[in-house]
Amino acid sequence: MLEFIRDLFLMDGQGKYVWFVLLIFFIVICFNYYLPYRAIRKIKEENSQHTGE
Amino acid sequence: MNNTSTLFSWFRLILKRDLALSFKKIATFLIPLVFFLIVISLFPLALGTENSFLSSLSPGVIWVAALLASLLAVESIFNEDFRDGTLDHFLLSGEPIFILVFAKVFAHWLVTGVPLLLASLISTFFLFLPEGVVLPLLISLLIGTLLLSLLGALGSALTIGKTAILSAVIVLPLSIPILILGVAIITSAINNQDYLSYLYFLGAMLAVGIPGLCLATVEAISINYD
Amino acid sequence: MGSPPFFFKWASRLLPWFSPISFSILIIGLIWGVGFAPSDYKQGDVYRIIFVHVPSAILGQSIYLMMAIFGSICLIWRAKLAGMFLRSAAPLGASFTLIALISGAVWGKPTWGTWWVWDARLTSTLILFFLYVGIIGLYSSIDNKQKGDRAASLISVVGVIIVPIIKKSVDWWQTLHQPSTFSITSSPSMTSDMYFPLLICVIGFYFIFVSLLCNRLRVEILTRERNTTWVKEYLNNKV
Repeated sequence: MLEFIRDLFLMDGQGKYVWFVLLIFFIVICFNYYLPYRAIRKIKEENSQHTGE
Repeated sequence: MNNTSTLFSWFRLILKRDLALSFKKIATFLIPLVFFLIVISLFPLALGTENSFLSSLSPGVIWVAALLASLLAVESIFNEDFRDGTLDHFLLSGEPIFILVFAKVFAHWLVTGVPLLLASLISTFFLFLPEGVVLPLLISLLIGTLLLSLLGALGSALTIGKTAILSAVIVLPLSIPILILGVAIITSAINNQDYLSYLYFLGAMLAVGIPGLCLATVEAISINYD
Repeated sequence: MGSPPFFFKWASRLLPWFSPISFSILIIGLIWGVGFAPSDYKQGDVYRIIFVHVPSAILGQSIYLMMAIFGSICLIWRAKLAGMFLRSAAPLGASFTLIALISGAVWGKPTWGTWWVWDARLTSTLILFFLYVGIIGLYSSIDNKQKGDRAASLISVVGVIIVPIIKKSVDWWQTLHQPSTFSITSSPSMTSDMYFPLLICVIGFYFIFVSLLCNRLRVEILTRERNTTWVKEYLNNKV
């Protein structure tokens, strides 16, 4: 099991390329998820301030 | 019959006005020309003066310079008229916008494209191009600059009132086929290969581009004045 | 049907289900591809980048086509929602094209020894990225949202007509300048245990794109219809 995980990470020295690509991919995807989330939260906050006053 | 003759008189009127304006300010047609020559002469300064090396690079150099010079002048197509209100006046007159676009593109090409043809003749001496290449160079630039003016008009109409750099970012990727075909024509001519097939393709692009891009420009203008 | 409130309601109802499903498809595809698919006999393990590279390249192109379709709808029928679709899809298309470019570069380093090759396909992907940037720059510079939508629609419709010409001319440029030393087109013959995870990844990417698009659309609808009664009702009920 441990052997398998180590192989998965190293991939005969090519692991860095594969994992780097996956990392970039997930960063971009998460960023794209986060932006609309933040925008909606902002709209809601502004709205609650408006009604609160 | 009456209708077509009024359209033609509108065309002549706008063309005359634009040409008169640019001859009044001599800069509008001299500056792109000088810019073109400056860019051309930057390359030998940057890359060295070895004849064979320069003439192998020259097709690309000439076309990149033509692309930049043509786009530099693009802002003047609609922005000036937008600022002083001429564009509003024309649109209020109810005449078809098509004729305006057509006349303005043609005027822009006469003022920037045709001087570039002359400048490219000078650049053949600068870059040691063989004499047999002059004819394909001129023909390809003739068609290519007209296409660039059409594309530039679209970019200028889309970005009326905005910076010219935005219109360049939009238009430059779309002008890549013109660049590639133009370079292909000159390179084939230098190597004594058949360049006519590329030339026909460029001509076909022009034949489609005149109505297509003019329509798109008309649409772009009417988006701005809705 | 095409009205923003209707779409907003459905998107809000479906997204809590749809996003986890699309994420799980993607994760299953990636784990299968990266962890369990056999390694390539020529390239070794580095070929596993394909499971990110190919789906994002496919998406980058199909999003552009999708934008042109939305754009023509927006221009012809002046449908508001189509313009919002276009506006939400453009940054996603740019993101996926960027991922395709970066993953291609990282894949190129160990296999060809360089980060970049002026190959026809790489070049046209780069041009596609520039086109996306132009569209984004155009609509974000126009303050009036409706006008921005229509300008972006126009340029994406014009672009989609010119893209085949760009591709053709890039092919010519390729033959003109260099005998291609690397051929990407002759891909290693894929066995089915490589092909299936790739297929799942492509499907997962499409699902992720749809859920991201719906997320962005909800924001777009909310910000534009801010002053309507239904948005106020929605916000007041939810907060």
